[in-house]
Amino acid sequence: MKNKTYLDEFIISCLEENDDQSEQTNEKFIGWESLITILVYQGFLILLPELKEWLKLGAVAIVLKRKGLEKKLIEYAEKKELDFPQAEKAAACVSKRLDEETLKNIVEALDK
Amino acid sequence: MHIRIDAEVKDNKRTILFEDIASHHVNEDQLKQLLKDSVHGNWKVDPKSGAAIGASLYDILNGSGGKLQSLISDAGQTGAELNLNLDIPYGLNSLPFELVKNNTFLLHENNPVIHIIRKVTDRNRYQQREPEPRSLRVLFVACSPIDLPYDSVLNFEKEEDLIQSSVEKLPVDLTIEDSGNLEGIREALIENEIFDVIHITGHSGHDQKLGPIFYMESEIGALEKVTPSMLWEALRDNLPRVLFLSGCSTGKSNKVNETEFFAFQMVKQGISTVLGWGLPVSDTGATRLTIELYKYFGMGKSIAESVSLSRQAMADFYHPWPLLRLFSDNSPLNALIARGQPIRRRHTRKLKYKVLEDSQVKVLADGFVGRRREIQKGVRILRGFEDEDGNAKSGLIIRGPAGIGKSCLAGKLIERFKDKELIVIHGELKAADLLLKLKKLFDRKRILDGLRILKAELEFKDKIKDLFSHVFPELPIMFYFDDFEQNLVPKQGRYEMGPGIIPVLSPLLEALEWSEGKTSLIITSRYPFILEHDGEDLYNKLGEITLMAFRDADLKKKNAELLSILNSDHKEMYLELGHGNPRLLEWIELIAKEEDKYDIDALKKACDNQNEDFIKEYITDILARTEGTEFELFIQKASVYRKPVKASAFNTFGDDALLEKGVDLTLFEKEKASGHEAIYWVMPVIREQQWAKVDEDSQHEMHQEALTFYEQQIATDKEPDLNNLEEAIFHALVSNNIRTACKYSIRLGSHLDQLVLYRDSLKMQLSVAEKITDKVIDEAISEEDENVATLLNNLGMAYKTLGETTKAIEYYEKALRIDLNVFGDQHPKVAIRYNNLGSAYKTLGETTKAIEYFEKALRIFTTVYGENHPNTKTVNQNLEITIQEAKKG
Repeated sequence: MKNKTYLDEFIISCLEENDDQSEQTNEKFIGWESLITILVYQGFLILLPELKEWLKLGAVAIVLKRKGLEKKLIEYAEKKELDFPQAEKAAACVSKRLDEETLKNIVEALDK
Repeated sequence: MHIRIDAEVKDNKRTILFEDIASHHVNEDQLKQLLKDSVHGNWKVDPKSGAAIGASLYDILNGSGGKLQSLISDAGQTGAELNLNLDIPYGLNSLPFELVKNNTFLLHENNPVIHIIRKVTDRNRYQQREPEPRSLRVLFVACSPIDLPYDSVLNFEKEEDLIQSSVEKLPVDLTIEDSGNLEGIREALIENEIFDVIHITGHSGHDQKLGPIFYMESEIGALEKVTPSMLWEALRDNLPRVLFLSGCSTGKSNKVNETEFFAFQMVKQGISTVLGWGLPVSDTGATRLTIELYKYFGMGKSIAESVSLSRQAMADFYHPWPLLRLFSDNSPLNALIARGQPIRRRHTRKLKYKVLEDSQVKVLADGFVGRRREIQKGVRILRGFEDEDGNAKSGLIIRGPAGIGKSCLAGKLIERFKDKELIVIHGELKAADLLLKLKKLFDRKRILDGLRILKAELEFKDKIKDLFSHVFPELPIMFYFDDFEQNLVPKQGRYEMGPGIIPVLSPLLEALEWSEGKTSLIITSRYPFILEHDGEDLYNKLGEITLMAFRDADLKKKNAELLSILNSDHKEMYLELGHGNPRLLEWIELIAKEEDKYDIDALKKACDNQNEDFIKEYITDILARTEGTEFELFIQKASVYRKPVKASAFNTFGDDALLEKGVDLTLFEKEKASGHEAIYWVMPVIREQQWAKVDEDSQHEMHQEALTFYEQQIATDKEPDLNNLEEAIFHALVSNNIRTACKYSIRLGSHLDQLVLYRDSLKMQLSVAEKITDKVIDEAISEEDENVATLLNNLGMAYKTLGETTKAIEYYEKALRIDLNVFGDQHPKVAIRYNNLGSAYKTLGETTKAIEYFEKALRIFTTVYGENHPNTKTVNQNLEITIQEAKKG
């Protein structure tokens, strides 16, 4: 990964928007940051070939892929037995930030 | 019963084995679907979903042959407990086997009682353990890093409080680890050796690189990610039988990095039994189940039974009980302690103080200190971390009323900085004290550079700067100024530095700023103060911790040490009077301990609606009074000593028994450093109040007693002791023994001059000289006491050194008057006075007068010593130079 900083910044931006997570769940849950990190570093990495293809589709199509990305991340979370339902929320949080610029940066950061 | 699900899948099926004998097969698709349902975790909040999963799991274990059912029936008939040791392959560990259900959940069955244990290894299958007849030992560690995201900082005090309350009547020794960090656990294990249970509560999670982690605290309360191997390193030398990892999902893995989950790894490393949670768990649910668990452990029930009964007690609250998972290395899950241990009325911890090396800093060695956040904040300030505004502080000030635990907190902080040499100043801050303590330290450590700087002809502030530049970077120091309020003077409702303090404190604060945290300063003071120098607000350079009365959990923990108060019918009143002030509570505890001796109604009436200071005074007073007139008078008289003294100081007005009684009542403090005789002093917070009760005549008498004591000390001191000299001068002055004060101020002055503390020397000698009236001079003449003249002469010299020659002449003349009368006009002492006067007049440019005095001196020296004596030669030289100057002028 050439650009670790971008992914870290991306994770932080996801964290900032979800300050109310623990209040919603009344859980002694601290896994939120872990979940986002796992989805970004590991989930995206597995999807990297597909993400590269999406880049070719252009800005509008990329935004339309948000729901698809969320679904794929949820599948990944299920497979890896991440804690639900927080994992679902984390997948939604990560996916909704997807646009051409973000995708480009993510792919660049993950691509060795 | 050992039940294994085969890790290998053959023909899309897995084999289920009972005691390693194949029983039946299960379809892999069925398992996969169940796993998917389990992963989603709906069963956690939805009992119906849980019941459905539980029924499917039952079918999987039971098989079409009904193997599990027949085991249950057999156990039910014999009344034996049924242990289901499950050996589950890694890929299936998310399955919530705790939910296994036939008609009811198996874990809720009463006949037979069924335990579900997740086997990690077979390591200790044949181990035998006999429960010991003693109380259960539990180490409780609550971790709550202050920089966790999402407002997730736990209210650990509430949890500690609940668990403490729940076990206080049980045979459970609960040790609460105050720091929430690994080092704290290590230290607790060194001090206590064995714990049956170590309970770590807090948040846990999964790190991208590290795998499963527990969010513990660093020494400043910041987040520290602890891995299983880090925790194992901390525990390995003193393993508990049970480790309870009360954090989310410590009993469940995610398979991102294919790392085994926390609880599993801890058993694999070597802990026999580990309890963890299968998913995120709510604080309240976890705490309630924990309380039940310790209740049963304390009753001497087996580990398995305790877990089972705790689950059953929570059966009505669906949430936590199925989440708890028990992992084992197949050790017998029998009781941790023998049954039938006596119930306690109260759990208590004995207070035991210790004195930090080479100081009078007293800290609690055993007993509750609390103040975790304050300790962490203190460490953060002293380490030079930036505060919220991005400013690093040069030192720390701990504020709060008397007895609130300022020194205890300072002591705890000092203990955290063992790499630093400690320099302690109690009360009045004086440059001389500080330099002498540094000199002793440098001597001991053979720091030659330091000794050279101390001896150099430099002003105090320059010495401090040089020490900070050349010595302290290699020899980090912790300065600790205790009871600093003694340096303050009230002014318009605020406190300012008393005279002479700023020149000592400001160079230190300035230098501390560029010491980069290597040298530290802690100040404890009852009041905040204004500290300005050259228009700069130096107070802002200090980070501040304000200690308030103990509250909530802290107060409860403190109260747990106060056995007599808690068992008294007047408990409420006592606690109210205690105002959460630890020292006051300890005194009240003494009253509660022997209530019959005191008039409690009168106490209540007198203290009702009174403030803390009044109550403190009242309580200590009745404590002293109740011990009888002899003791009451003893403590009053003993208050004459402002500083700690040896027991012999009190011998003229009381015996050792009275002294020890005072120590027992904590009205006296006692310090016994190894290799030194014990020293005693009346508690500073009550000393003045006790001393004020002594009538004027007796005060005078006591000051003389104290003077005699210090004179004896000075006579036996191998080298001058600054403290003894100062105290001798103090008692001599207040008992109007001016000539004796002169005697010791000469010695002290010379000592201070050696330290190049001319202004301090002058100040001290002047305070004595002010009392030298004509009457004293006449006395000195008639008694032929040369000390008065010597002091006046020295004072003159001090003024001259500081450039105030006219004043110097004034004192030289007074000295001359005495010496002329005592020794006559041909004595060498008189010649010295003449020479000094000559020298002073020469400085003023009055050469005629100077020549006159030099000639007088020369005549005496020539007569007494002859022409070749060095004194004669020196005076002659002075005379010649002056004559030549006169000619030039």
